[in-house]
Amino acid sequence: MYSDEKDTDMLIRKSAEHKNDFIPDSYKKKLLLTLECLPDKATGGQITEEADIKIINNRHKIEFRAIASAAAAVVLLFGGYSLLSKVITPGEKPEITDSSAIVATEATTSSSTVKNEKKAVIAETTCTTIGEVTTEETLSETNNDFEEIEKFQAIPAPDEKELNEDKKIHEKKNDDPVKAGKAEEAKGAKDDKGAKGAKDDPVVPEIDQAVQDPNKTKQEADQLTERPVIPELKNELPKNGADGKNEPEIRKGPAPKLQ
Amino acid sequence: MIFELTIQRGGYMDFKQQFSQLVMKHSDSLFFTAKSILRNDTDAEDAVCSAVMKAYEKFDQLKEIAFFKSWITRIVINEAYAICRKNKNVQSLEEVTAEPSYSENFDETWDIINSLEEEYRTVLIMFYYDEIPIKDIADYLNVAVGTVKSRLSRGRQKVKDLIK
Repeated sequence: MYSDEKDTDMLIRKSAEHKNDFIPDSYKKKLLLTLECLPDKATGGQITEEADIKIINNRHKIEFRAIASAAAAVVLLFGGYSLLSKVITPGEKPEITDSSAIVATEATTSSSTVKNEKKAVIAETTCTTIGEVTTEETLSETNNDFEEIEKFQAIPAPDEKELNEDKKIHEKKNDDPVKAGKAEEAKGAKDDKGAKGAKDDPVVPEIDQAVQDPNKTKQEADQLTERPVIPELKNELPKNGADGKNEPEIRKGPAPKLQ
Repeated sequence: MIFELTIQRGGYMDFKQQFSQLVMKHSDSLFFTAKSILRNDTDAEDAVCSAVMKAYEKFDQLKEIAFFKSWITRIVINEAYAICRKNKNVQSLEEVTAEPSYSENFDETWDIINSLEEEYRTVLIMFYYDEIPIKDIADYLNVAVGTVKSRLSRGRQKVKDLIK
């Protein structure tokens, strides 16, 4: 550097000492505003393999826990929808329960889809997959709705041995006419009188027997066959034609001509 | 990884907060880098803001936090050149008037440097105001170290001539 240059060098260095004065105020404001407006975003931290992810209920709530050693920001994706974008600390259990999450899960997944695919990616950072459903157990343990349906459907079918035993008992009963309700039939074979009635209605034979009982009077027999009438209603029944009050009027004369 | 560094420092820091702190630490330097390429203050501000947004998007790709300054400086330079290309046929009012602003912060040397051709202006601002080593300037501008040195020498000469 020549001596002339040295002077200029010193001059420029002197100017650079108060360089902050050359930065406009608007710059700092603009920069701060830009930084403030930056979206929350994932960093690609490695909580992935260690993340413990649970589907509590496929339709309403997803819970996961970070057990990694480093804090990391996570974007949880479910069927392409971004549900959660925040930083989680180790051990923290963030739950997604906001309405957007519910809409997204309802729109894109169903329990069967996840169950069938098994490896449906339920969480990932912007650059690395942080976890996936690998076992069916995780789903069946946590999916209450599904469990209920499975319980209902899981009534065991009867054993074939038991079925055969039941059949034998039933056949044995049928062989004994008294036990099988064939007592009347057996009687009827000797006496034709009550055979038909016993055959038609073996369960309620009392009324028929009472009606046909020669010891009962005719009135008693009628009472047995007559339908019972509630005494309170009996008085209110219309007396059709008894005193002519409720008798309908009979139209007299020729029928009206149609116009 | 950035995370490991954060943990080593013994504290848990929000990702965005961490990025913002780094940017603010180097904000002055970033402005001078942009200003060395762009004459207009507003364009320089835009270049930095645009670079910050791009850097934020790719922040997880940065392998070591120690390289943050050089990494973001390179992004600012690219953005500044992009604005330069965009404004190729546009001349700002500031450049047309070209009269020194006799404000409170008026500095003749600074104004003279800003009036120089781009090749001299860039190296002078980067070297004196941004305090970037010659080797790094050569790296950023993709020129030889000797070229930077000669441009600095000629730049100084031009400043001297204009002051007289």
